[in-house]
This record gives sequence, C-alpha cells and structure tokens, in this order.
Amino acid sequence: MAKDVIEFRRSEEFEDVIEEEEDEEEEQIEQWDDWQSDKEDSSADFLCLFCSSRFGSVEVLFDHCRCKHFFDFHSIVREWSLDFYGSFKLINYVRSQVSENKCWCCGLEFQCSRDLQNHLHPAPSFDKDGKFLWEDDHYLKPFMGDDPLLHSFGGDEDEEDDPMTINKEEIMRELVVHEKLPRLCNGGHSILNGDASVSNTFTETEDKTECIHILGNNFEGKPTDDIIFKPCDEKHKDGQLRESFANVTVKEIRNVNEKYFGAYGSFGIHREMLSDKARMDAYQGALLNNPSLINQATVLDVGCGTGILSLFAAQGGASKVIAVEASKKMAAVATQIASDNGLLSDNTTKGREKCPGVINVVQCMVEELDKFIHVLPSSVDVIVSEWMGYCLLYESMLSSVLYARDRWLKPGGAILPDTATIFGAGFGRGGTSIPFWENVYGFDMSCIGKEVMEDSSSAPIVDTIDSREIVTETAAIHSFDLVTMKLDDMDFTSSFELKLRTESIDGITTARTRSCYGMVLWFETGFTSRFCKEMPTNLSTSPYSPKTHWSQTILMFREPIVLSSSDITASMTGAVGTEECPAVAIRSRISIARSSAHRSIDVSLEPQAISSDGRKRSWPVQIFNL
Amino acid sequence: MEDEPQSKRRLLQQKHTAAGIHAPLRVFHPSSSPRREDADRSYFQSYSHIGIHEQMIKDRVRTDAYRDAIMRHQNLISDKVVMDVGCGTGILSIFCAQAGARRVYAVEASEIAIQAEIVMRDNNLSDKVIILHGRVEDIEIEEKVDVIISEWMGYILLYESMLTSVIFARDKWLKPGGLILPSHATIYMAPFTYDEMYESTINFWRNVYGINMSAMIPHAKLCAFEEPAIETIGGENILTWPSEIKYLDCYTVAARDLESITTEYRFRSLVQAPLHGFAFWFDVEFNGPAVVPSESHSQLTDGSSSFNSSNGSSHRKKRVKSDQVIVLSTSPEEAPTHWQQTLLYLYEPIEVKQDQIIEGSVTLAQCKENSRFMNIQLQYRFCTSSTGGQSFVKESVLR
Repeated sequence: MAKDVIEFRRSEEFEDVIEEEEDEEEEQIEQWDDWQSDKEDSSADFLCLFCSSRFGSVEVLFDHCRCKHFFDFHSIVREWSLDFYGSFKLINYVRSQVSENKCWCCGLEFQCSRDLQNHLHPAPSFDKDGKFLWEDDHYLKPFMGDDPLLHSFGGDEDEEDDPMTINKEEIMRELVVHEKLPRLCNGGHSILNGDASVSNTFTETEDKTECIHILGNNFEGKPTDDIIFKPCDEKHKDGQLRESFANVTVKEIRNVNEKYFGAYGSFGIHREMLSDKARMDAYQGALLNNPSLINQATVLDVGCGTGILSLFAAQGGASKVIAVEASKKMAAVATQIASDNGLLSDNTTKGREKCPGVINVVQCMVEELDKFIHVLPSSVDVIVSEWMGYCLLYESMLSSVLYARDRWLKPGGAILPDTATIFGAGFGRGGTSIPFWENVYGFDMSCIGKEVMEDSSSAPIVDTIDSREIVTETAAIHSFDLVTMKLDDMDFTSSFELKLRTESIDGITTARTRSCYGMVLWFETGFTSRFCKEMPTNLSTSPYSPKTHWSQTILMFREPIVLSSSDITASMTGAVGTEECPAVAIRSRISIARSSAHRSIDVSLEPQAISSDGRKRSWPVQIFNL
Repeated sequence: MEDEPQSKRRLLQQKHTAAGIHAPLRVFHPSSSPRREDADRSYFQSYSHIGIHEQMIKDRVRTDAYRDAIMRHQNLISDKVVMDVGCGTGILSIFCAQAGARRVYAVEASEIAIQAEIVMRDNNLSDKVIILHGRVEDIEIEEKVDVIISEWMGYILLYESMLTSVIFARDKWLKPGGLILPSHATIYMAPFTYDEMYESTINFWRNVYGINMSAMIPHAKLCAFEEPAIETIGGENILTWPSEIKYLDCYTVAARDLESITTEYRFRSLVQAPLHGFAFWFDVEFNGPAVVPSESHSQLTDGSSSFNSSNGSSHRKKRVKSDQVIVLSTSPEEAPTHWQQTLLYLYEPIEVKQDQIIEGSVTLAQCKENSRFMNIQLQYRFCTSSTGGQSFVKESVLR
C-alpha cells in the first residue's frame, strides 16, 4: 500500500512535488505500513518469523514479533543465555515450527496460520537445566534458503563484551532479577489463579524487569544501529515483559488480535453496509447513471472504507479517483480490492496494453491529505462520501466532508449526496413495549413497562419502528444543503408541529384520537438534479421505506400526549393532551448539537401540547444523549 | 456505527437507573472481595436491562417448560417453601405461588428486583413472594427451603455460570431430600455444515455489486470465526449423532466440577458434506429428587460401534427421555429458543465423507480473567480409513 502511495505521488499529475522531501517522506510512509505487500524491496527483506510481514530492520522485526506474536527474542536469548549458535538455531526452529502451523513453545498444532497466530502466547517457563526445544543441531541449517535475519540478529559476541554504559549497580540488580526470574516463571500458574502473594512479588520486581530489559537491548543491539528508545516504547516493553511470565490468557489473545488487525472488529459493519440495498442502490445509481457528472471527472471519496463508492465512480467513467481512508487496514483492503478489479492506478502497468486504473487509495485523515499527496486546491469535480450516522449526525463524518469541500472542490463542483433532511413523526402505544408487559402469562407487569418509559426518556433507542405505529403526519425538522452549509450549521435548533395522521383504510377513517408516546427521527439524503442531471436519486431511512442499517432513532416522551383531529371539540377542563382534552397538535423545539464527547450528539426536545381552543401545556425539556 | 452483539443475553454494559421507585426492600450488601464485586456488578447491571427480560419471557419454549415443570411437581411445591435463585421479573416465583407454595423467596441481585417487588404487589402476591434484593451468597432467611427453582442456564449451558449460585443455595438452604428444578442438565456437541452462512458471510465478498472484494475474505473470516457464534441452525445442519459432553446432576454437582470440563468425542459422519465447525447446545430436565439419573437413561446405538471412552466418563450419544420427564431442549432439532446454538467455526471448511471419523477432545473452562467468560479448547482430527489423520487445535473465548 505504501508503494501505491509513493507511486501516486510520482504520478504525472502531481509532478510539482518538492523533490528533496521525497526520500524523507518515503521513509515515513514505510513506517506507517506494517502491512507490506509481497513486493520485494531492498529496504524490507527481513521476513517475520510468524506472519508474512517484512521489515527493513531487525529491531523493528523483533519489536513486531514481541508485540504481535508474544515472541520476545531478546528476553528469550537472555533468559536462557543463548549464545550465537543457540540464537541461530532458535530462529530456524521457530521458522520450521511455524511452517507446520505449530506453536513454537507448547507444540500444539493448528489447522491454519490464523489459528496459530490466535494461539501464540508468551513463553512459559522452560526448565533451565533441560534441553532446549531447538537443541537439535539440524536447526543449524537455515530453514529458509535465504534468510538475512540469520546474519543480522545481533548476537555478536564482541559487542556483548563491550562494557558500554552498564554500571555496577545495574549489574547487581540484574543478578537479583535473574535469581528471581525462574521462580516467577514457575509461579506462572498461580499468578493466573489470582494468587495474591505472587502478584505482589510481581509488582516489586517491576522496575527491575524494566532494567534488565534495557540491559538486554544494550547487549544485543549494535551501538551504531538505529535503536531508538522512546519513552512510550519503554513503558510498552515493561508491560510486555511482565506478560511474558504469565501463560496465555483471554485478554492477551484479545489484545494481540486487536493490535494485529486494528479495526477488523468492524468488518461486520462493512458487510452490513454493503448489504444495505437502499444505501447501495442510491450511490450506485448516482455514480453510474449520471455520465455528464462523473465522466472524466476527478472524484474524491471521503472515508472510502472498502472503496465501493470509488469503484462505482471508476465504473462511471471518472478519470481520477482519490479514495481517502483513515483506517490503515481498511485502506490496505481498499487498495487490494481496487487492484483485484483492475481499477487501481499503478505506474507499473504503464506501457502495457492494459489500461491503468484510476483509483488512488490514500491512508490518512482527509484533513491531513496534503501531507501525503498533492492535490491542487479547487481541483476536484465531485466529492462523494457516505458520511451519515445514526440520526444523521451521530458519529458522522460530515465535518470531514465539509473540510474537503472547502479545500479541494472546484467552484460549482458537486457533492454526493448534496442534501440531507431530518424528519420526525409521533408514534403510538404499539411502538413501545408497554403492551407486552401488561399481560405476561396472565400477570400484570405493567410496572416494568413504566420503567422502560422512564429509561428511554433520556436515552434514545436506535431501532426500526413499524410504519403502522406512526400516529402523526411527518414533519420536516431540518434540512442541510451540503454545498453551502458551514461546519457550525451542524448544531441547530428548529421548531416543528406534529398533527394527527389522517388515515383511511378502505374509505373508513380510523381512530380520531390517538396517544402519542414519543417521536421517531429519520433522515433522507438527496442526490438532486442540481448535480445528477440524468438521474437524480434519494436515499431514505424512513419507516415508510425499506429498512436500512441506520434504522430509526426513537425518542420517548415522559408521558403520552393524547392527540385528536381538530374537528373534535375539546372540553374546556382537564389538562391539554389528556383523554379529557386531547391536543390538536404537538409543537416542539428540537436542538441537535455535537456533544463534548467525540462525534456524539445531544438531542433536546421541548414538547408542548396545543388544544383546539389554543391552550398550551408544556413539559420540561428532555435531553437525550446518543 | 455500533457493532453490538445481537444477543441480548450477553453482557450489555448499560448503566441502569433505578427508577425512583422506593419500595420497602431488603438490600443485602455483598461482603466478598472487591474484585469479584466489580465483575458481578457489571453482570447484574446488565441483567436489569429490561430488553433481556422481555426476550426471555417471550421465549415460550423456556417459560412454558418451567411452568409445566412447576405444575407437574405441584405436590412437592404446594404448601412448601421455595427459593427462586435469580428471579428476574419474578415470573417463576409467580408460577410457584400459583402452584400453592406457602412462601417463595425470590432472590435477585440486579435492579430488576425493584420491579419484581412491584409486580408482586400489583398481582396481590406480596404476602407470599418475598423479594430479596441481593446475591444469593449474601442473603439470610429464617428457614430452610423445600424447593429451589432457577433459570440459571447460559450459552453452552455454563457460560455466565449462575449454576454455582444454585449450588451455593442448595448447600446452604435446601432441606435434605428437597426438590431442585431443573434437576439435570446435559451439554451436547456435534459437527455441523452451514453453507448458507458461509455463503453470506464469506463468499459474499467475492461479488459485491459486480465488484470482486475477495481481499476482505481473510478479515471476514477472522471477524466471523474467531469467537464462538450464537446462531440458530436446524437439524439438517447436523452431520452426526450428537455427543454428550457433560451430564450434570444438580442434586450432587459441586462448583469445582464446573471449573474445567474435558471430554473426548468421536463422531461418524452420516453424510458427505463440508464441515464448517462444531455446534454446542444443552438440555435440562425437571426430575424429582428421587430419580437416579444413571439408571433412568438408556443409550442409543448409532452404528458407531467402535466408539470408545478413554476418560472414564460415560459417553451417551443421545439419551432417550421418557415422556414423563419434562425436558427443555435447545437442540437444533427442537423449536428455537433464545439460547440458540453456540457454533465454533473452523476457518476453512473440511469436506467429510460418509462414515468418516471425526474425533478429538474438547475443554470448556471457566476463564481466569472473568469467571463468567468461558474458554473453549477444541482438538480435532479427521481420520481416513488408512491414516489416523492430523490433529488440530482451535481455541476461542465466549465472552
């Protein structure tokens, strides 16, 4: 992926890049990427012992093995006092075990490397006097034909003799720790069982283990080498070392995977989004059916995810697509997918018959795009993004889209979608779980239903609601024009009015008095004829439309408000909004504002019931935090 | 956007706000170590989340089985003292009161106890059903009980392990010869095939709106298959007769028996099909105290005569249960329940032939990090007629 970024930088369109900076930046990019493709590169030829990652330096490789695979080469070498040949054999031994999908330290065998990588755990306590697993001399034979790691792993004895900066005090401490280590290792099991005394010992030796680690690095590393001790690095190492004493625990399995695959846990959501037909059809329609907009256009995809919108844009005839994705893994995946579909822009395909693709995937926040590639200000024809969150604005990427618009969109350029509107409507009893609790196996549990009401009057519920439960007309609450809106417009206050929905089934008008238990919010985004001249389209998440993965957002009132159509004359007594005096309308102000928590929003509601004779009854403001 | 587990029974770390209803409640303060308290607190908070209770009560297979079992044992409940361990909304306590119990102690640690108290009052049962808001380990009552009833089962029976609380209650509060409902529980396992699921989660990526997204497949597999999945499959998905992993007698089982369970298994595939993983489920029986379980069950022969047991426990493939016994089963063969089945997927499907032997061992162990989590270690081997086959391991955590 890094390569693609680099090549992209070099591509003709961006030749005005300042040359001097290039090398520096290249190196930087290299470091961001631990997902090296299998493209050979002279600066990245150390293959990881456990996975297919390649690294430019031995230290980075061992760091990776320690963090990702619980294999701490240096501390193993130290703990078992391995000499050069011992370390040499260890590397070959681990490679041979991994090739058979076996755990290098406990010998368990797995069906595939994924199972093995899930399993990998810190080394348990080996019997120091016993034989090493890699004792056999046949491990002196390099397991891999050409394994540069074997002559670079840093077990140089000359350097070990080097007194360097080790002072006496540290050596003494190291000795103390060494004495303690085997005991601690043997206690591994009781640590797991939560034995308090062992845990205490642990805490005491914490600082010492750190010390021995630094010592170890001095021993193994070449002084001239590019070992950098960052403070945060050190802290990490300390933790890692402690972990290596305990056997594998759930948390560690979990942690290693989280580190490994970053945001992979959200893959389910990508499938959900790609399976969301309403969403896909709207974007696909906008990008494929509007050639006058997309053909030969430069398109910027903000938050590309799997890259599906970029692929549609490429299919639609875009001459260049810049797909920006902040997640490292998703950017790598998007690159791969674009490449698999022959749509990745790649200089290496130049000169061949095959026409190069047009998609350039850039892994960064869109706000930092300039640091990675050069895009001329006001040079983009179309910005496309699927930025909408629950209730439109929750965890939305709208601010990123607006940033991209202001910086790169040509005057008169298009934003897809270009409008967004929040709607609301009131729902009845059937939209709540109250009826369920009124009769549970013949018993009255309505008190629990009341509890549900109270709970949800401050926490919105993201769920779908059946359109049959909606009792009012739909009110448009707020509209955004993506072309002109400003960032601060994201926080807004609007007023709206809900009136009883006049519904007639087979010519018979149904119930003229209904209780409204709360309101449901949804949104629509438009790909309007302003830009989509050939075929405008609309993406709706309304309860009247097929379900989407956004569902709807349900806000419950503190108490139901009884509504009737205006032709019923209300009694002059009784509170407005009750059975005695039904309201003819619910009026409310609503505010939606970004809350202090990142990408979260607060919704406030001030419902007011209006009677036919103009009397009003207000409820205290309700604040919902989504 | 959220990636919330679908299953409501799982720990939902949602903060519960006690609804400002002040009922005269006895609240017992846990006196155990702080660490355990923390784990418990989030567990009990999750249980006061009401959606779970709605889902559990709506599970008619579950609720009806309990009601039938209570009515069946009415002679042992009528005019007796009952303890309901983890009563939730109190529905089982109400059934017991309906069956004539003289008194029901309904123990509930989570905030739902407040609602349960009101439910009893609303149904005029406050004099019979006494809600005790606290952990069963901490409560004190003035008499021993004749009956313990509890709906303690989690996924793969033991996930969330509320059985230990039932055992505690049994040892401390149950009169000798008292009744425990349910009385017996069995965990089963069988290999399954599930092409539809594999298609929709994995092969989905091969063609997304005409675009090849195979690059997502390794990630999708990790995402979908790393942890056990809670899904509903049908009898048609099961490739062999199930194997019994563990049979528990609630009258005699001890808490330490539940810490780690290891069993060897051996399956003979009934059909040729791609094997996608192993399914786990359970059933519970509602027997009186007098039943001796080992004699009440016979064994089905299933054609796998070579089946041998090497760890000493009896391997019954499928127990014949008399019509007299009420069984709540979560088997794929039976009507779906909110427990569904627990599926352990392999990363790659394996094509098995008819009569092929699949053998190995499985360990279900309480997680050391959080005792309500469960580690599952599965060792499996596919034997062909000529060779013993290579042995593999799959480890996962139900959390």
